[in-house]
Amino acid sequence: MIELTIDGQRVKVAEGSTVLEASRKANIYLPTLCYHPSLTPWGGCRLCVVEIEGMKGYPTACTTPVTNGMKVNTRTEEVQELRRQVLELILSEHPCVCLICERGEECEKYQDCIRKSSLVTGCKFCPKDKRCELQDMCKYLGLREISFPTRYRGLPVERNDPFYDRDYNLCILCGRCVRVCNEVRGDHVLSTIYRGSESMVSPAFHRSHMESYCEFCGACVDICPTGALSERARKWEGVADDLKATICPLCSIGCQINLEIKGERVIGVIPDPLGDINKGQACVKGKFAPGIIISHKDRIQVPFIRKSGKLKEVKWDEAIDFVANELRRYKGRKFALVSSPYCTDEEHYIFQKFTERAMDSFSFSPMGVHQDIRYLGNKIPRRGSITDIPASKSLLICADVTTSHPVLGVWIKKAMDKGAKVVLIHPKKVPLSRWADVFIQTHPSTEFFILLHIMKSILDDENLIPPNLPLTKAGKGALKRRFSEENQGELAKIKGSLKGSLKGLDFNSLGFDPDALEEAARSLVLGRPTAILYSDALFQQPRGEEVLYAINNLSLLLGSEVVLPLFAEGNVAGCLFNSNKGEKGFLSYTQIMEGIQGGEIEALYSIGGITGHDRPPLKFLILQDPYYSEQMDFADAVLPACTFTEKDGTLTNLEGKAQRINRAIEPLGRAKPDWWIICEIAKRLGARGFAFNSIEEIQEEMALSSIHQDQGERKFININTEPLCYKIGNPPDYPLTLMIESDSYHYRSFSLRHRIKGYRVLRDPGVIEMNPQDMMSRDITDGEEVDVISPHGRIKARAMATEKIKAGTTSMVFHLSHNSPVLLVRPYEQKLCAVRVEKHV
Amino acid sequence: MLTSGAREKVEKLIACHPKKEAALLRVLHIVQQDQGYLSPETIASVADLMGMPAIKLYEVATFYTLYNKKPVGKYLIQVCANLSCSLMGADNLIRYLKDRLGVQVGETTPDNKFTLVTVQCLGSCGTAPMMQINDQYYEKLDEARIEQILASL
Repeated sequence: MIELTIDGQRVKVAEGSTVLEASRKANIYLPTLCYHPSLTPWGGCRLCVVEIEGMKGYPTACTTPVTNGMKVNTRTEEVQELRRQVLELILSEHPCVCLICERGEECEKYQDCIRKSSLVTGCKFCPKDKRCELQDMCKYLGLREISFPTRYRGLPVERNDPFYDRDYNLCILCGRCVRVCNEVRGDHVLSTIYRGSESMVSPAFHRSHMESYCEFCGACVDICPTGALSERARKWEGVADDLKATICPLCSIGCQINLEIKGERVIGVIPDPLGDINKGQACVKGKFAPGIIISHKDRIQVPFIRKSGKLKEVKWDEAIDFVANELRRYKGRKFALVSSPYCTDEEHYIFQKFTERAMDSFSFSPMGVHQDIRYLGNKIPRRGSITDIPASKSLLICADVTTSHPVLGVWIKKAMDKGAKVVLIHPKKVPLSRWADVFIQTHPSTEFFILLHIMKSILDDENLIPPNLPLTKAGKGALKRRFSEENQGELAKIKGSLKGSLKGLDFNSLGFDPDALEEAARSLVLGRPTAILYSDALFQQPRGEEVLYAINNLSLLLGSEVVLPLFAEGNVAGCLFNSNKGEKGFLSYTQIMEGIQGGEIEALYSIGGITGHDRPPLKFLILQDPYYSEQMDFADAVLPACTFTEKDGTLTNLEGKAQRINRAIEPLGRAKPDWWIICEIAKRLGARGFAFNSIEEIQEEMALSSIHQDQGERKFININTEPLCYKIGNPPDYPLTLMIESDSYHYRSFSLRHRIKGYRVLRDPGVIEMNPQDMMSRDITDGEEVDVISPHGRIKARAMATEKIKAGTTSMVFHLSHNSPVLLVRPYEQKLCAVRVEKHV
Repeated sequence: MLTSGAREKVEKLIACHPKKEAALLRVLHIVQQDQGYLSPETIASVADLMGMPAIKLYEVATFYTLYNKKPVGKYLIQVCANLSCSLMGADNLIRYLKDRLGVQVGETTPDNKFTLVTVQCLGSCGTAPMMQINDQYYEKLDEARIEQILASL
């Protein structure tokens, strides 16, 4: 510990702290603009200058490390005067008439003369008014006058990128956006270009953010102290009344976010700086979507029931009576319930209980959760936590992480900064492939062989580990011992099965660079501990189960303590762990849909929407969702559900950690939480055990029930690859492989890409990405309408040429709206299928 | 695209720097000598070669006036416009050069022979006013001397 004196106050801080940190610890305020706790100190704004006895000049507190016996004065008249001058210089380039206007106080009260200064320079027309850090500084330093001539740079406001506007006339060059983009996010989009008075923040070559690999994570917007960067949707909302903590459900990371509430509306999101997993970071989904989707015009606000062919608005009582009366006729096998993987843990418990107890059925499935996964349950390899990622020395990533789970990129970047090697296996050149040490571009569904091959290289480690590498003999010994003691039996089997599975496989025909595979194996084996992150698309394919076993075995070989399945939707893990203990087994979504087609299932309770645009052959269909969809047109009852901001509960993230979401605002209209609606119907059906008044009561019951999470045994699983005559290649009629990228750009039935322009600009959901070679051979031009045909269906799409995928592969994003690629696959949950693409006629 | 010679030089240079960032200034010089100026495409390809984000290279290239971001003529005339030279009449010389060459500061003559730019201190205040043409300093200038120099090129 170091002891120093600040303004006569004795302060003890850890060695390596800065004077600024020591002052903050002692509750001594120092003005700052360029400082931010998540960034390296910069000393750029010069507002935190202090006097330190024995030191020349006025050092900046943010960059000066503390020493024993240091005497710091932070508030002498000289220092304050210096700060005022510094601020004057900063403001000489920042429109600031209102900041220092002598009638500013009166203006505050009446706001009657917003035009006394020109529009561009008045604070009233600044999106950051009252949230601006410059205003705070002026107030603190009592600045009333600027003695320098002011200079308006006259730069055009940049409004062409999605989600935020950039007005660099308001920029004070504090460099916070630049540093957060480079240091924290690792995106390297922004920097300061030119020099002196011409300096400005910009992407390379003045290109747009879109063209500069920007993720649109919004970190720069969050960190900007002025109005230079502003979120378009919340620009004129002013100051929030309240902040309410909750968990973002838009992917399975479970970032802690604070909702900005104004009246009964969510106007924006501020990622929680104290969040364990996200540390003040959010992503393009969590930052910009909640404010838009919660009070979206497409919200259903009242219950509807179908009476003589028409949907009629009714009170809840009537709706519940109607639904319960109808459902009475479909008890047993005739009933099925499909839920949304965005619903809470408690709700899934209730859904299953309802299906079993109230409806005497076992046909319950979360939408889009692969049937195999539910059977596999704890066989899905899952260990460690996201925060352990930076401790790894290598990373094996089989996912488009920065698109589907962008905040994980922050942790991967931390590991990379410490020198971790990244091995990326993916069918597409994704943003992360720019930084990966080894990038193996696969043909979809061949990941399995790559994993096997890497394993084989590791098992032949005598050849793999060159003698001059910094692995001690003891290290080698330990590697062997681990195999021999714990798993010798299995290991022999695995070696055998590996040999068997790789024999006769013409590896060259798969088109992989054997050197890259060797390099990957070497990076992983030498870079232990290894973290393994794999997308759920990897096991939602024909050989999904075996891929999981391969990952399990590889993780044991490498001794990985961080193995994370990147489920797409917010609460897939919760669905798996809180609903799969049914006594009678269950049906998968696909089986339910088949049951409907076959006529065995006559009534469907759909929470969050189903696939298809026509009414399935059902006698009774209930739709329960916060959003209007085309399916409402053929539903018999439409029940308005709450969004995640209007109810309590827990979501289980990909680590298996249950996190609480909180009711932040009143439900819109007459919307109700899903669990409440189901419980009311159950009560009306005369079922017992549904008299819950709060989420806590459900939690109590769940704690008593048999539901528990277990992580499964750590055991090599013998992959039965005996009939390994897997044919690589598609049937001749369907020569292309379509990968459906499930990256959770939706919330329940609401597709962000369909209904919000910004997301559509980033990736059009109506587009099928194709390699130019495949387009040329089919005489398809860029942007042309095409039919995508599989044995199970046909959809329309627009072809887009991209070199990001190999010839033979095509790609679309997952969604449930019109022309959903899901219609092409069976089972519906699969993320791969063989297709052919034809010109649309 | 870089010529193979320049590419080789760049690769050699990167290899002998433990931190590739440290090689950046010299790499950009080699590239500029090879290409005449640093176009966005050139910078992007060099960024790939160095395994660095393009914005890092752009940041450095725009910071230094001695990297040309636009094509320049055969003779790049850089007139110092800093304090000492200004006091000694640099402004008049710049005006003279503008008239003489028929271009504004930052422009190139239509025959691609001369490019006129102003720069900050070139460290030759004792012999102000001065200018640099390509790699050569010309000091203690006046209009007659400039005429003489231009004629000699």
